[in-house]
Amino acid sequence: MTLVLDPEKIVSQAERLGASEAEVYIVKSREYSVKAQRDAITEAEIHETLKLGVRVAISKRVGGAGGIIATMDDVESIIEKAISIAKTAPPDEKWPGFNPRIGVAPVEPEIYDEATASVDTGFLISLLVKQLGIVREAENVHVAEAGIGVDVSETTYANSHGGPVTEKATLFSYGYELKREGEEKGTYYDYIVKSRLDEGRVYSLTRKGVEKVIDASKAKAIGSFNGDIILGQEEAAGIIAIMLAPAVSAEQVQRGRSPLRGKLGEEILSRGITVVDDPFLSWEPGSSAFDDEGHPTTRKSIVEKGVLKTYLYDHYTASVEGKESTGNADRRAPWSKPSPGPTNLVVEVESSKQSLEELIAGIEKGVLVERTIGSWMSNPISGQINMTISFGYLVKKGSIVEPVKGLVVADDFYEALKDRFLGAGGQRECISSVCTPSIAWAGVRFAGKD
Amino acid sequence: MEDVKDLVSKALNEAIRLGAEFADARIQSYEYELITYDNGSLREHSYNRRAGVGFRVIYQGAVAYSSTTDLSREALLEAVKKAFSSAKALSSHPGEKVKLAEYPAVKAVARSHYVVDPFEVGEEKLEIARTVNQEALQVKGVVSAITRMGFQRDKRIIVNSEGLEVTVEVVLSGLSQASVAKSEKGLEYASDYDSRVAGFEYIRETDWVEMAREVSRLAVTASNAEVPKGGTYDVILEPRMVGLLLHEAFGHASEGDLVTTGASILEGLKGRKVASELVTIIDDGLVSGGYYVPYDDEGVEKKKVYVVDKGVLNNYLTDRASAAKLGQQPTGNGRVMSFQNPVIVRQTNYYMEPGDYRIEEILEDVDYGIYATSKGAKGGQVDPGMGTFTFSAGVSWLVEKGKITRPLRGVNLSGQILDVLSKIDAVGRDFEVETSVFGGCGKSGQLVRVGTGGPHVRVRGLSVGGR
Repeated sequence: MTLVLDPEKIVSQAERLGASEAEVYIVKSREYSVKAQRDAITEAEIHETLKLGVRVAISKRVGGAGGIIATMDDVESIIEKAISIAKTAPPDEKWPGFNPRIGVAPVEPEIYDEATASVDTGFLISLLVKQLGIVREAENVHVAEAGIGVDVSETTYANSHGGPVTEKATLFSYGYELKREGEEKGTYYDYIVKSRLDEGRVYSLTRKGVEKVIDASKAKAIGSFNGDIILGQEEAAGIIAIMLAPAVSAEQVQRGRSPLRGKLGEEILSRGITVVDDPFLSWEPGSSAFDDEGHPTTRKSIVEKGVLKTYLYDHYTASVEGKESTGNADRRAPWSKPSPGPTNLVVEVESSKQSLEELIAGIEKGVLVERTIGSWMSNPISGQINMTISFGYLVKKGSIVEPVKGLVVADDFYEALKDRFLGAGGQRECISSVCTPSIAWAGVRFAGKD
Repeated sequence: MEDVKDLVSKALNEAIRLGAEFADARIQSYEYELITYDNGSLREHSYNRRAGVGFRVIYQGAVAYSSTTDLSREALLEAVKKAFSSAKALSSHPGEKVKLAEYPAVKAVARSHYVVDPFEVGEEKLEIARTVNQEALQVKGVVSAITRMGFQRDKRIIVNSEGLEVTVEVVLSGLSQASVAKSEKGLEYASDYDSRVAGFEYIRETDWVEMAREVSRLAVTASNAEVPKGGTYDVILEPRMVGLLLHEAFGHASEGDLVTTGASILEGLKGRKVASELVTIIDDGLVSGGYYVPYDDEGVEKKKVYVVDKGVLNNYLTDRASAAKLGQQPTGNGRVMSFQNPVIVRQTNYYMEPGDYRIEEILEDVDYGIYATSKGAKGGQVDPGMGTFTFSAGVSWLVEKGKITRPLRGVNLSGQILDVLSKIDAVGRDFEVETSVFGGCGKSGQLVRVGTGGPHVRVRGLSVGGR
């Protein structure tokens, strides 16, 4: 890719064409990936992409445009499109201008790894070959699908008030779906996304899958009952991201779409739970030294010992309340308006049990949840959790009894984690920018096959 | 794009000259415009586009993809060479080799019909979205309203080394409304959308204000409603919910790539009874209300496929690779999200054929059940290997002794793939298929537009989450 974009020139050009202010967001990326299907490597992909987003304000009228760029003509037409959209927009009376405080945080997290950036298709093939070898050793277990990939990117932000700020990042991803054949059939999937390639983790995750798919294949659909729930780290991370991330966004709060509106200083979760937004964790994909509008990122407690301490702000929502941005601007795409969103969410639980086994030991009857489907359909506006357990373990009198599946759960997130919280256990794992131990609560209705 | 086509054909010839047995390319030009009104003010008006070429090269049964946004002769040649080198590197590893089912070198051009180009319309768009949003906010009890208007133009040219050249262009327009209401019980929302393969004339001709008011009224109803008690219920599904059920409970498992990799529970069941005799399921690229898929992204003509015929599994959906493995004809279901993505098997418009029942007849045999409707439904998900699926309903209704009684919120339904379609004991005579400019179906990181639908149906015994 030979085209090089100069963000300051793009801002100046937009101003020359009539913008009173402009901002530019550029993402340049190179992706390599290799895929396997049914125990054989089948596909490789290589892509290079240059994405540009331009947003402009003409007085208080705002517009945005962007896309994948190949030539300087594309850049010009995007600037012109953003200007033409702004010209027809009604004025936004709350418009505070683009972020005036551009810079990087004093702590710059480790998110770029030279060794990861230098891998090629051949290396990824060799990793996947070893992974296939591990699975081949297990009887009746096959790789239905597996994929491994590396993404090397450079993100640049500038606006009429300053910049540019630039950050390079690497991203490594690995995922698989294993299938057990024979009398008892079942599948199990897992994945990791980190900023640094971790070869050992590829193999340990694969070995874990080989063990788990055997249990998954034995899972039975059982009848409805009431009991306690333990969410394994993956599912706990998923639910916390789905429920808490939108609810603590100042935009959702200001627009009347958060159940946490008006609850600053109130106890919203159990007193043992603290939730921190931490952009400085090494090798986590949510880490960054500046947010998506070039504002320095900050570490802050969102919930401290159960009490809601702050919402997350970008420049716009902070200005509405006369505050400073918390450095949480997040863009869906380079051309989108930013909204507040978390970086990495870290869940800390006081007196968390050393091991998952200790947590299970305290459960009279319940389910340890390994995999769910549909938890993303939970409702952060009402606070209702929804999930269908596609693979879990029935727990009775403090011990695992048998693998189960097909149980539907609906519950109130805040009531469950405040009034019915039983505790946490095991190591804290970081999964897709949420770091949490396994968590448990009581009083759950498991709807099953009656 | 037409001039690029010749350069792309030459690049494909280069792949063959280097030793590849097959090469194809997807040339795409895509535009999307989104207007969002939020609580009375314009939250966002944005436009984005992408254009580029994605190559697939097959060398000794190994497949590799590469793409470029640089449409110069040199860049296209470089991209195809990268794909060739990767395929060659892969080919030295043992394993099953990819073959494509035979398909003729057709030449075709297909464009969806529209009257008014939505990308040429100016302030009228903003005015309609603003009015709809303000009217949604007028309903008492509503605390928040979001109105979105979206437009898409997607032009694709598929060219392959066998001489195939297919052009497909689709224009899609739509509007969505989401309203949040507050009651003593807390916050709840409802939502609805309508999209058509059409131009701006569709936006002008539709009564969006009434649709938005109805969504707001439903949000108020939902905010006062109860969550059902968790357990097993007889469930009546309206057409959009039937679409979700079929798409999740059966559609994915019938996708040929999941069948051939062993990730589908339907592997080996062709010709076997998998559903009630009342159930016939079709995947069709051209149906009123659905998305427009006359050809897939390998240039294969999309056939009307009877996946399930009167309860018997009749056909899998296939691209050329899975068709070869399964020993059947390609059904025109090889699709990509964009020129950068690999071809995988996707549904197009997946729906159930209507039956004989009137809605009153479907209701009257339910002693205690749920009428699940779609306004606020978020979608669904399936684990095709474990056979478990789930989908969410919008504001729904309790049915007691054949009568609709109280509203319910937070209804989530779940079941087992091979179980659920056998439990359908009534299929309505009504019929509706819909698509959306705001979403679609996600698989392997690729989102594609789909259509879903059917008539009203009754399912005996679905698991419903609750307290």
